Amino acid sequence: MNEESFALNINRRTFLSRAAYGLGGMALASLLNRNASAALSWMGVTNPPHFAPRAKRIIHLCMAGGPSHLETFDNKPALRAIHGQVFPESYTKGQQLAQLQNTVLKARGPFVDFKRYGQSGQEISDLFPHIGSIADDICIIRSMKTEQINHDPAHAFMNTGSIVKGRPSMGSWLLYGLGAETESLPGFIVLTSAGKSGQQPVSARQWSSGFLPSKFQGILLQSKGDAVHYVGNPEGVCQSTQRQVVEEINRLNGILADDQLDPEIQTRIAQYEMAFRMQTSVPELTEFSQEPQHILDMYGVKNPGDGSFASNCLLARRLAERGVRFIQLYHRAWDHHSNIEPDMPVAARDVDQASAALIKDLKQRGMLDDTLVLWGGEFGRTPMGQGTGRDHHILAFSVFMAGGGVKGGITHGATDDLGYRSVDDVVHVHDLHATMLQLCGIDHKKLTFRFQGRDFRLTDVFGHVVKPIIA
Amino acid sequence: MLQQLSAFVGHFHPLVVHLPIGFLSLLFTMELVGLVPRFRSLLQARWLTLAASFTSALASALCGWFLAGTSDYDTELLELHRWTGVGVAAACMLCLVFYWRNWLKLYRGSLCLTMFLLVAAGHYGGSLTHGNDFLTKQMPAELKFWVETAPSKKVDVDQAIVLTHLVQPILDAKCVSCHGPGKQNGGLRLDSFTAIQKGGANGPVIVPGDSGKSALVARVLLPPEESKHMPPAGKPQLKEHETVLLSWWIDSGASAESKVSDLEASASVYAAIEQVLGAPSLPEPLPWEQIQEQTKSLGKQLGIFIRPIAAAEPWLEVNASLRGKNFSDSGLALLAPVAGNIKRLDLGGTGVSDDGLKALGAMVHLERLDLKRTALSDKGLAHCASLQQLQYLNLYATSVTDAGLEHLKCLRKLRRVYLWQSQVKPEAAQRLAGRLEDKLFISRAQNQIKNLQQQINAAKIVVDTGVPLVQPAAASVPPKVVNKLCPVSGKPLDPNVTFSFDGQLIGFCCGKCCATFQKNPKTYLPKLEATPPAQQQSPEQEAPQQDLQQSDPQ
Repeated sequence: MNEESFALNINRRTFLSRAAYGLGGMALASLLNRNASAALSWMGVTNPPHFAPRAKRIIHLCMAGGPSHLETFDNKPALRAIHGQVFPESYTKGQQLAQLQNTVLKARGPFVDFKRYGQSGQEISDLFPHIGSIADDICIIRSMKTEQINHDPAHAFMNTGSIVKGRPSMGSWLLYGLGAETESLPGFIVLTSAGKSGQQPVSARQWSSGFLPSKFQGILLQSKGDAVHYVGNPEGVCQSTQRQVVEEINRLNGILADDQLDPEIQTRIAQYEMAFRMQTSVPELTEFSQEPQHILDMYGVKNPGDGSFASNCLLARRLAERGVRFIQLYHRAWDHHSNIEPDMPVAARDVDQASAALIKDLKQRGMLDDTLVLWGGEFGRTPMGQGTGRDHHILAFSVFMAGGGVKGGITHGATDDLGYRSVDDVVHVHDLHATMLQLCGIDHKKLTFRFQGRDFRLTDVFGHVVKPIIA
Repeated sequence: MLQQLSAFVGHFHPLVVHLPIGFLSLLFTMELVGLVPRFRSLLQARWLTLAASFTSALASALCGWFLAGTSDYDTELLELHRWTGVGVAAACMLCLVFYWRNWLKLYRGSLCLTMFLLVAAGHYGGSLTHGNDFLTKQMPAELKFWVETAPSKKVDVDQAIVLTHLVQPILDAKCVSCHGPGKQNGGLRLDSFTAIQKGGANGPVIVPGDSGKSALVARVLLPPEESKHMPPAGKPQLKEHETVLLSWWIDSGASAESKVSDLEASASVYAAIEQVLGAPSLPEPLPWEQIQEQTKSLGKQLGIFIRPIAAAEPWLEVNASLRGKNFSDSGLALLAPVAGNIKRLDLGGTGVSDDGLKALGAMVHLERLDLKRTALSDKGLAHCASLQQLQYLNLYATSVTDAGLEHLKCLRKLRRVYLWQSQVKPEAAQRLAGRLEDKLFISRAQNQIKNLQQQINAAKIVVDTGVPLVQPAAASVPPKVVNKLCPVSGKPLDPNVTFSFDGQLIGFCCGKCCATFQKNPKTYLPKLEATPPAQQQSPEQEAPQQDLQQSDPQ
């Protein structure tokens, strides 16, 4: 028995010996009293926020696999010039490599051209003409840096600021800190899609709530078919019967909660309530027939709900409109160790139009002002070739942000001549986390959770807010 | 040389000036304490202290004189400081003379005079360097009535007459001393509307509607070093907001009667007006402690998201959109007790009606208002006309029309208006933007950019060899594929599937073939050569490729 549950038990004994009704009983009483349109039960621990929030919600378009920064947002003519030659050892000496160990390192120039887009003249590769069309709305960060060179730990680092298992994901932190502005949908929702190549698995631990109560964990919706399995009532069960069932289960759980003071029982009671409300909210959410054809065309959605990245982007907007706090889209298509020249353009085509459409759509609805969009992978790719592709690279990669109080039309930071290492205004993943929390009104040093005897935070003991990109 | 020397000496003034203050204070204290017989012995140090006071006072007065010649302080204040400072040195000399002649009564009298002048000179000097209100800026409000004169009768911003309340006071303070009843330099008087209209010996000074052509503004805007710049060097200059008001008055027709509310004022003009007349006072929000309970119970009762925007602030953020059509006018009306605290209100998709929006009238601090997807029409938008603090307004998917936008034309702080899927035509939206745009700010900022560009150009180095610089060969020219048919399948090419091998760009019919080729290129290379090349390569292009192959260690 660990220290904390022991302490809990002591509390329970003393508490229950003196009170006829435990905490669970009270929770149940309030539950039974309220009607289906209930008040918000969780307003977050940062209530009120530390600062006036600029962003109310975050949409993370995670380009899983690690897109090459050299063919997205970081144009390196010097690398093009030494294409095929031996990569200068001064750059690479003593550095960690993933699969390129013990090989002769040869420079691989970008295989696409770059153009300047918009009034701001941001440089974006020809693979992303649609993102080019929103150049004035986005802030490109060219000087990202991470610490993990393999996919799963790098995703974990991007999500939790640590590779240790059991740490909460940033969506969970945000939900824990601020609560959601909806009672009928989970506050942290994940959608996945996959491209034709360069796929790497993404594990469910990426949206785990770790040591935070599990009601803050990300909920994965199915991108294809029913968003949630078995969300409809079984045949012969009407909504009122279903309600009775949920109330009875919650009553029984309440008795259990009365007996054992376990926060997970509270979570379970809350989840039954949530699931009941999702029986109506989810079908409404995925009712794509409300979307006019020109909106579908804008995103490039052929069949809404077909599991494509475009369809997920459209769903992300619908989730954002319904008060979901953190929406995370994984598109698994960017691990181009080989065949980068034929495959990366395909991956780019799958996400380019939809990513840009999401931002344009949020903008025309007046939602980009308070929605922060983050686009990027878990790391970048080497300026050295790996056969016909590029290897994993952690010292430099690019992401972009849009909306939510971030300046549009700027490029922040820079890498060296060959795109090997971030050198100017380096933005570490911890800095990115600190900035995202800041934009949501949270001081990253103050949002903590005590676990195993110490206070944890998303940025651990690191993180500096990247002030120059905040409008 | 002499000028440089005097400037050098002048800069010692702030250093030296503290010595006479110390010596004289010491002397004065000694004289006071010396009145008690027990401390008589202190007075033995009179000679020394007095001599030190006089020399240091003389030195700082001299330094100060030189310093005054070098910089452009507020002249009025400078003269006061100059002469009180010289007075200190003179009075100090009197003390010395009287004490030497042993005329003790006269000595004591002149010492008191010295101290008085010292305090005055010190105060004026402090005001020169730190600003007039430095001492009282942080004074607690309860004590302020000591220093503040009775507040002059406040003029309501909208009712203020532009000439009388905004423009004439500027002219009176900065121009009339040379262009008024006393003096009429250039035959110009600026102390009355008729005189301004009449102009001076060189003709009229204002062109109503065009401040750029009006000498009154043009002369003020000349660089200060120009001889025609007004007011002349050394005289109190116009402050930024005063120039803004002057130009705005002329641009809007230079009439004698127009009130502020009659003219169009952009945000920066309005800021200038508020600098003179004070900001219109909005009712204070209720303190958070007072509304804390109410806020929580409202959240529970209505099932809406309501909480302070940030810690330690009384401002509230309200999101009723999560209730959808279940939130209606009655719910909005229930927010009345905290209405003055709401800064952000999201009513998107709710069931509020035009009439229900009357409740917005009390939300005077509202900055963000979201009315998207509601039954809002022009009638309801009228209730927003008084929300002076509004910056963000979302009207997407409402039935607002061009006419409705008229209600927004006075909301100077408005920066974002979303009208997608409303009945508003793009022209009307542009008109509103044109009205609310802070043209003055934009044109000033553009001028600054222009000046900076000139400075950048001036800082650039020009080197000219007479021979144009050869740009390094553009590496970005996309290489052309060398084959016409897929070397693997023999089918036509997909332009998107290419692979560069040995410096040649090879096209394929599909990704699969490309992958097959890469696994074992040697097998397919002969096939590639068999197909005729799509394009003859020039020898210049060939040469570096060969180099590249040679440098390839494999």
